[in-house]
Amino acid sequence: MKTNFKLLLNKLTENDFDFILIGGFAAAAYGSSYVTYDLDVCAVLTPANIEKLRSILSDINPVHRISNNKPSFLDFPENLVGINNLYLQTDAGVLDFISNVTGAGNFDELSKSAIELQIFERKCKIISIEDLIKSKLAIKRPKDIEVANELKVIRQTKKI
Amino acid sequence: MNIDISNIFTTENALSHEQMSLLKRNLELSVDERINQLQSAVELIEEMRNSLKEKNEDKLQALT
Repeated sequence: MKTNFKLLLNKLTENDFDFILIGGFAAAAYGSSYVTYDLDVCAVLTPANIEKLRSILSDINPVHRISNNKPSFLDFPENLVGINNLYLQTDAGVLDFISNVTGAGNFDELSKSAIELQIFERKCKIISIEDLIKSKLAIKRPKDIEVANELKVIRQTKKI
Repeated sequence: MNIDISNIFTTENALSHEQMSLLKRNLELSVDERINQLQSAVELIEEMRNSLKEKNEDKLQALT
């Protein structure tokens, strides 16, 4: 299967999985010149939510992309308690779940200022530009600092 | 074209595991797959930008 971010996003929105789009795609939506190749979302990773994700992603072969042997997300881990992040590779592309965004907070904190958009005819929340700037600055990698600087200019010029 | 990426993952570097995993995946993609990946990313970005633009226009209209 080819990379298909639309399919990945639609899988989450069509199945009413509660999440906030963060990271590079959110930055690009606000106007950053950087293009990203992974879909990053913030979500509450309760055992129930992880089970729901397994069901939603079951037909696109999700695996843990950071582990050397890339175990299937459908089988591993068995114990779903205390999971903070999931770094997955699927047939439709890379999909990462973060429960606490460095510098900006968890799902509930991000929800306070997140913006609801219509994306591919479905409601989808994205992180606010303010929280996105905070998170990019907190990560402190050169690329993230550059994106944060771009976002600051965008915020100023567009009065977002 | 075959690219030997084995050394990348055994030498010390400043990239996180997440970034390394992404890099490895991208290096393994063929040119056509990479183009497709870019097109798919641009499709989503365009959709998000349009939606954000509409949202901002609605906000401005409500103010005037």
